[in-house]
Amino acid sequence: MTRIIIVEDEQAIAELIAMSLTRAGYECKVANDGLTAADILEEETFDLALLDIMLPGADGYELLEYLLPTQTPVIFITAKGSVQERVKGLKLGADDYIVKPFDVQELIARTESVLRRTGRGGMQLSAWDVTLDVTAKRAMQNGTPVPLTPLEFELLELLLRNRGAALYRDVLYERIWGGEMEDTRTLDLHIQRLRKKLDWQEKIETVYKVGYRLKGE
Amino acid sequence: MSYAQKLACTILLVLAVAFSVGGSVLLYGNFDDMLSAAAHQNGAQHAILCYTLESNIIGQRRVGGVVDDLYLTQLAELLDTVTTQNEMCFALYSTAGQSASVNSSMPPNVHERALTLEDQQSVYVRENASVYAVYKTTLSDSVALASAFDVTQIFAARGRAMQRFLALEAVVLVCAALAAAWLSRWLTRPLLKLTAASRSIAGGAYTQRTRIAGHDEVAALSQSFDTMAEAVESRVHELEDSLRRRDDFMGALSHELKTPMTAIIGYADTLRVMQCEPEQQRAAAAYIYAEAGRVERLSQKLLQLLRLSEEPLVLADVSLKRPLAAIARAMRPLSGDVVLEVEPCSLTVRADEDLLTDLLYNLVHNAVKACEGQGIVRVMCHANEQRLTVTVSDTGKGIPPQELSHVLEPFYRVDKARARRDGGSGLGLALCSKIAQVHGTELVLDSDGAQGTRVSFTLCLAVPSAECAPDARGTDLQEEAMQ
Repeated sequence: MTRIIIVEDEQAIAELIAMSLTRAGYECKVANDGLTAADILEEETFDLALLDIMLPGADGYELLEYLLPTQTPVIFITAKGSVQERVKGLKLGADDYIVKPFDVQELIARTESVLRRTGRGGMQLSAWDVTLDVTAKRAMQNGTPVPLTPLEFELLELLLRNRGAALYRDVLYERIWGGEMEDTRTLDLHIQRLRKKLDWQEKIETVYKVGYRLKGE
Repeated sequence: MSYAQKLACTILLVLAVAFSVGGSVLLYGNFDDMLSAAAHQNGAQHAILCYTLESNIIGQRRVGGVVDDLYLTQLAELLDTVTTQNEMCFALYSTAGQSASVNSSMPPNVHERALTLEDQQSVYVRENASVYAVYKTTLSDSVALASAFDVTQIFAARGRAMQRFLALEAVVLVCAALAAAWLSRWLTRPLLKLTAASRSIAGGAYTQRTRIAGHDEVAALSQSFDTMAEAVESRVHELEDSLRRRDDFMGALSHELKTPMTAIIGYADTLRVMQCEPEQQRAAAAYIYAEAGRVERLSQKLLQLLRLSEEPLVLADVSLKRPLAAIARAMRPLSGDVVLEVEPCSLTVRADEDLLTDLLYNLVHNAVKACEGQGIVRVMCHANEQRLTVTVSDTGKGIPPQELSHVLEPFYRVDKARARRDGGSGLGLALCSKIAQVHGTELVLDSDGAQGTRVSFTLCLAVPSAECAPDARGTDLQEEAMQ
């Protein structure tokens, strides 16, 4: 499993990121200050580091210096959003830079982009007999490719990423089709088709008054 | 046309006019002198001739002779002999007829003119290139003598003198032009220096000065220009400083807002997207609540800060009794094991009661937080002449000396981690500082980094008809970026 370290002194945000990334399928570790992070980094290796810049103890830049020789990709998350700050961060060697306040979805997308680029965990999502190659947009079941339309693929990906959680209908619609949901049948139809193609009638559960859920482990 | 050129032209013009006028006066004066000298001489000579003729005529009369044309011719011959040495010619007339004896050298024009002359008249007659002075006198027996003297030389001399003068004037003016040009350029050089300096200052080189030495008006101009440049430089620095402080404030403020917003949006979105377990929901809601509270406290303090900058303060006579009591009451539930000693004081000061209470509350609250669970916080009042000094001291964690000057800046935190836990806005001390400032005083901080802190400020005692400035020290140390 892909391991990510999150170094952020704002507890609320650190937990938010950890929660979202864990749900997306990564293993996360949180450190609240530079020194603790440095200690952890000495002991363990990670596939990606999400660093805040303004930290007590060692600041983000110092941690970056420490991480560069280990070839661990780094994404800075910080409220320092001016162009010169961003350029500075990137020039020092960070792989990406995201400014607070950010959309958690964007953070996850950037994380995956960096992981893909640096060849760690080329994004593959899997559950039971189905594996999704997110980059190539291909779905395989038991080794055989499953023909899915782009929308079906996205819907499946969303369910896999939030495995075990019941997703609200309107959010599902918004994430895939965009805009307000006017007619509920499009979504239902696609879910039905997915169930049929994958033979996952039991695995994609309908949650009463909420929406749908991909059954957890 | 440049100033130097104008100057040179003016000098030249004045010189030319003066020279010409002076020269003319001189020349004509000279000419007049010479002419009158000649006239004097000629007149005298004419008089002598008249006298001679008169004597002869009288003599003739006495011996019973007749004054007729024949006699006149004789007289003419007599005159001839006398006058041949001189440059003159004459004409004798008998007034009976116009016929006369005329000396051979008299030019016709002159003769004609002479005829028309009255007795004792004299005139200048031009004949070709010569000028004659003609005198006419009527003698006895209707005999008239007209003598003409050649005065051409005098006129010629005048002409020559005029030419010489003009040539001289031309040479002098040319030399003067060169000298004037050089001189005026030399004199206006300081002006060019001033122009260059003002241009470079306008371009941003605020340290430029002109420094022209001397005691004249130009040096005085240079000095006042330099003084002005000095003023501009310091004002520019002030404005740049002010701008930088504002930028810093804005940067810090947006950071302070963005951080809780990220958490609020993130958790709210999570709740919105999926059905969460009750514990997760609770945790998310708790975070949202806490962060929103932080934003609220921040915006409240910010508004207060803004209001203080905008509204003029209305001072009243405020007794310290109520504020001190209010603080003691408010802090009781918050102080825990920290001992709070508020020295009772009923003195009256010039202040705004609400602001004063806020100020004291903030300082005492900070002191309690610094004690971290144990210690003593004291509020003391000390009156001195027309002033009252209030001091809030604590035995808690002090402020390191190097941070002391920064502590009153907006959003500055000495211990960032602790501040986060406390949910502080970062504006508390900045606000206190501002309150002190609008009261005409300032916060004085004293801390040795480990053994507690003392914060004090001074207010005016409410004494009728007392002129009081609470704190003589300037407040520009604590100038807010919001202004």
